[in-house]
Amino acid sequence: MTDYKLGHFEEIVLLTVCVLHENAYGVSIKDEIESRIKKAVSVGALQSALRRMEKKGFLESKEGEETNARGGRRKRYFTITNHGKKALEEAKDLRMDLWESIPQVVFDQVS
Amino acid sequence: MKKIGEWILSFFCNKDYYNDIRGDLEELHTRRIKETSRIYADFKYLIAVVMLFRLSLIKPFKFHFFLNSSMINQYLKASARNFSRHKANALINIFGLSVAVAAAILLYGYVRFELSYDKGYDNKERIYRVNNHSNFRGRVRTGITGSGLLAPTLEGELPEVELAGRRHHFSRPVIQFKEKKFKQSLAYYADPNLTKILEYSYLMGDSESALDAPNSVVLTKTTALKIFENESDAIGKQLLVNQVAMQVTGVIEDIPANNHFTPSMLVSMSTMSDISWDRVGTITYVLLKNGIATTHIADKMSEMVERLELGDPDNGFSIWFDLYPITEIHLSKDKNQHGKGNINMLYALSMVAVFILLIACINYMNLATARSSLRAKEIGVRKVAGAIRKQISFQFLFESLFISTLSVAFGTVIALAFQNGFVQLTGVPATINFFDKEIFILLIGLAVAVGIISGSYPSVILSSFKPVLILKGTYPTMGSQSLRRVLVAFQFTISIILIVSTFIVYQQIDFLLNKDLGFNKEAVYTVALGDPDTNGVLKQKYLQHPNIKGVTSTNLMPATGDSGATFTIQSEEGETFQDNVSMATVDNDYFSLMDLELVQGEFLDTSSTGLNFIIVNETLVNKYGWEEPIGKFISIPSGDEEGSMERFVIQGVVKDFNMLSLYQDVQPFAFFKKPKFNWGRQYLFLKLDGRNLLETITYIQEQFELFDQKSIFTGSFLDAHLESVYRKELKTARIFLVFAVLTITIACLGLFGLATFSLERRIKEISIRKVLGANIGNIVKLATTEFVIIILISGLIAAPVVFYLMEKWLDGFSYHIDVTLMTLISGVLVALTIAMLTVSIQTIRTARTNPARTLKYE
Repeated sequence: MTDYKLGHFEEIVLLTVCVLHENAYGVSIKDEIESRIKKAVSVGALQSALRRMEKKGFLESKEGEETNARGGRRKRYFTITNHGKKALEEAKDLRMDLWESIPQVVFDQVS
Repeated sequence: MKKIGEWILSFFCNKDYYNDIRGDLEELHTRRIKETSRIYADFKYLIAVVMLFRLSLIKPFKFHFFLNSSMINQYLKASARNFSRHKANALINIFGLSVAVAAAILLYGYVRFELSYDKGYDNKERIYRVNNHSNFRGRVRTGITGSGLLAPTLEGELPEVELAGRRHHFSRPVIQFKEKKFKQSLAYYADPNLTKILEYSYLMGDSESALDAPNSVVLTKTTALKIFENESDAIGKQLLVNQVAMQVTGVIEDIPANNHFTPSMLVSMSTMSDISWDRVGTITYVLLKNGIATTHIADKMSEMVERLELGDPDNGFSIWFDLYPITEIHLSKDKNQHGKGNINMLYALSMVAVFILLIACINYMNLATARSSLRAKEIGVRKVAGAIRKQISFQFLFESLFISTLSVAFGTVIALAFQNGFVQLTGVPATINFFDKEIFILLIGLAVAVGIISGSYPSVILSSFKPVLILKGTYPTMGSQSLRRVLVAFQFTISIILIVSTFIVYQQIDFLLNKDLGFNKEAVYTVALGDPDTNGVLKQKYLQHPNIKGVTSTNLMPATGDSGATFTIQSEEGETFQDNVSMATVDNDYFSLMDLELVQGEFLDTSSTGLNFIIVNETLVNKYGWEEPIGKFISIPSGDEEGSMERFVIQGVVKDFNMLSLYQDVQPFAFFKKPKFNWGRQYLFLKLDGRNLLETITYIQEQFELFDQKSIFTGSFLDAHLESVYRKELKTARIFLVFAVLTITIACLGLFGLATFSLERRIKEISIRKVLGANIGNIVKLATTEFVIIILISGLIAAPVVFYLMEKWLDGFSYHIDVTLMTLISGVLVALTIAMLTVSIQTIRTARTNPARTLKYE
């Protein structure tokens, strides 16, 4: 079986890459995540997650146009691979499965 | 700042990712500059770079091909051969480094122990001690002691307080169990909450109830074993504590030495019958609930004071409280906290540790570069055989790492051997557990750090040799001669700073001990009375002895820092004012026995009206500019009933004397005769004539025990007592002395190595000079001039540093010596002499060799 293991943060990054569609590169991903989880994300954490998932084959990347804002450096755009999609689906299925298995009474008790 | 970040990034970041990570950072940076400031953006950039240091993003390690085991074997062999060929050199390096490492380890243990005070509680972040502040008509008092009712009130009134516990000093207990009778220090009243807050663990007895009932005692294990065979025997036994029957209800584990409060026994708080808001002396601790800010609590406590009307604003009396974290008590600079530690001393000792290590590292550096020509051929051959520069420099780094590892190993052994001595020296039970993981990591780190610091420069120098030149036979000058001189100068600067500091500390202590205190301290024997009622009869008995020339009673023991009491005084001469005056109660014989010099008026007389007369000192008179002090009135609260004052007439003025402590200036002082003010401990001061000392003191003790069966005899000579007050300074002085000796020894060791080597190389020159008629003196001069100049320069650099540091230390004393040029010069001279001895011995030996022997091979 192929390894579809996804960490929590990895899952968020991967989903964000999908959300941003064609415009997913370092800074835009960071902004998007920060606006959603309301917490600072370090460049280090993000880049290391991206590279890790690229190595695992969940993501692929290509270089984009040059911009002045980046000191003449190209952006690297990330897109999800089929493999990555499977990983996301698996993570989601697992969750849904767990959600559906929770007896209603559990939530009644806590509320 | 951004440049630094860029440089770090390019250094460690994986090449494949570098460009787009750099791009991301760049984009964020430009955006941040627009939004905030450039400095902030730069700062964030740097932070981001540091955060990028992750395994998945850094460059893959490239283990260079030179790192294979057979080569390392070869390096080891080369190093070992080199050591055995130049044993003295290797010994200097290893010995110097080992001693330095041992010193550093011991100092580390000391500093770590001092920093560990009160850090052992599980709830250490939530435990606080309460500061009591009061203001009575402008007289502000701040202290840790307060009312015994505070703790229960805090716990009852403030929901933020989880527990509030208290302790109260238990005065001079004498414990009696069957035939055993002894004095016990460090006894306290305490309530069960205190043992809970401070997390005492009970070995025997019930932690909840042991301190509930009146007259219950909880002993520490050590105290229990002083009385009983083993601690389980103690439970339920009756002890006589100061003649009161008390029951042992518990035994607790000994309190760790790194707690600011180390009781030896606890008596239940309920034994104290007179707890009220007026009676102070109790120390309160609180355990706050999770997540409570102290500022919040301070406000709440102020509200509480108002609500319960604890102050008396109409009468000009207010009180307030705040909290002091328990973890900060020991090293607190706030005198009110009575912290026994001294943070400046810790800084000083940490610096000393680092400097000693540096001095030893410099020895290695200097010797390795100076002697590099001896290795030149080896390097040349290696290079010709294909070694690249990296390999050569690695070889020498490896060699220094090898030496530093050996030294750390030896150093640890030395530290272990001298650990007990060091504990005695510092008086701090800072033993190091060498099996501790932290220590182990530290030692490895030390070995690597020392190896790299001392080995990096030589390895760069040695690996830079050009093989063609070497093998042709021309040895280039290795390493910079001037750098070597600078390093030696650095070593001696540090040594001189330490030597001169040691001189000054000793001079200051000598000054304190020999200063004319304004009273006679010779041949005065002091006896602390246990029962004040024995005062009169003992005095009579003592006066009967032929070798006792005088006896007087007083409640003031000089230099205890505590003068009995301070009081608010009002003059009834037109104006009124309030002041703190230290006071003591004495009898008529006091002034003649203590040789106090009368300036005006007369001493107290024996008439009954004399009770309301007082004698004051010059400082008090000068403070108010009284021309005619005799007959002036001073009123002090009589203590009989609210607001009543009692009037005293000044009958005499004595010359200033220094009975408190030489840390502070002479304070306004008054002597009373009235027995009512005779509180605190009573002492008899006996003037001995110095003959039959042993027999006299035995007599003093026998008589004491005859009339006071309850107490235990405590007697000492006044001058011995005064000396013991400066024990802390003596300790500082001894520590300085030891490390000054160590530094100069290690520095001279390096000097010895350098001198030996340069003499070896110049042996032919010296021989030729001798043949041409030079005498030993000329040659010694030739070899030593350079070092003399270096040490003199070191002295010049050291002087302002010492001056600055020691002036600061001396400022802590009201009475102190000045740092004189003489002291500085003598320090330099000591360093110079030691260094010259080191170098000259070797020089003279070389100079005396027969020139024929060294020149015959030419």
